[in-house]
Amino acid sequence: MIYNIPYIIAACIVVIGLYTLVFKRNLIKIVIGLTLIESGVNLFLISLSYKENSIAPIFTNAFSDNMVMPTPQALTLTSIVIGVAITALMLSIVIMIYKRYKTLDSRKLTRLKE
Amino acid sequence: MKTKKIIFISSIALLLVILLLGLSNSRTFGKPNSEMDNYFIKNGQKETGANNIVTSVVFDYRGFDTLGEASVLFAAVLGVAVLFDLKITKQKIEQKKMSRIVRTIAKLVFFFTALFGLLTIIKGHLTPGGGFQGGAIIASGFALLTVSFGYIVIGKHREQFDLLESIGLLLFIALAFVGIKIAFFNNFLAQPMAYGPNPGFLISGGLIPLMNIAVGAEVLAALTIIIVLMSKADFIK
Repeated sequence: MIYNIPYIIAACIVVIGLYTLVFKRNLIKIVIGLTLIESGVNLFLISLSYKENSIAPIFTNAFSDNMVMPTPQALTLTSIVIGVAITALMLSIVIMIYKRYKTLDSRKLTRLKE
Repeated sequence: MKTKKIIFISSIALLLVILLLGLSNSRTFGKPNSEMDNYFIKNGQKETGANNIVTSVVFDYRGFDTLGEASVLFAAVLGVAVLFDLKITKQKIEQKKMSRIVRTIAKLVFFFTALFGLLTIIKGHLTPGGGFQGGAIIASGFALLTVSFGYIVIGKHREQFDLLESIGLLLFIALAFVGIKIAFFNNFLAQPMAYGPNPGFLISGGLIPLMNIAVGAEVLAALTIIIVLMSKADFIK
């Protein structure tokens, strides 16, 4: 059980992100919550692929051929890049919302702008 | 309002408990029982010729994923540009500049950052790195320039960055189509390499280094455009 602590930390990060999504009203904080969920998933993928006493799967001057699994790392790379793209898009939408409504409180954004 | 909050908190706590129970009884950390990835480690060098197995998974075995990834980045830049690309007056933006010390150091640091990023891209199939990582490193150098010199120093080259991004993505797709006679993302230039550690040869891996360069150009241009557009957002009315 105690050896599974990276999985537990990943689950905690995901749940903290969900809490942020549900309870925070500030749009920037909601974006941070989504990013937290994404980080938790990335951490989970990476810790799933870890093998004891092993090195990164790169053969240049490698001193052992006991290597961690490469596919989860490649998928995490994909996930990180897509996360960056989505975060940029979300933040620009938040900026435009702020320019238009002069507030970041999601409770005050229910009214249509006339 | 109060009951709603209690229901939400208890459901989130329940989710945490379920996740923790499931994860603590799954396989032990550090001892994966899947043998699937041993195939890539054993045969990656023979089939793609690249020393970095992660790169060969990204650009060869799972090329479709990377194609989607590059397209998502392109689409995100398009979305940001649609939101922010408004005409603003020129003299309003030119006054935002940091002090001479910051500018001098930024110029110096940018040189080394760009050099390191280029090395990361070009040696992506031999050492940790690749197109995405190196592109992000170079884009961080451009971010440094944008912060210290103001919007205009990178912003006036906006069209060149647009062109670079499109060329990078198109080159990547074209390289994927080159081996279409056998399969999409067929690495037909790859020279088989013996299994095991080696000092690393720059001319190896077939199409993978070329794809690294194409993706690196796309990522560096895409992230720089995002940074430039966001730095301009301050001046939009």
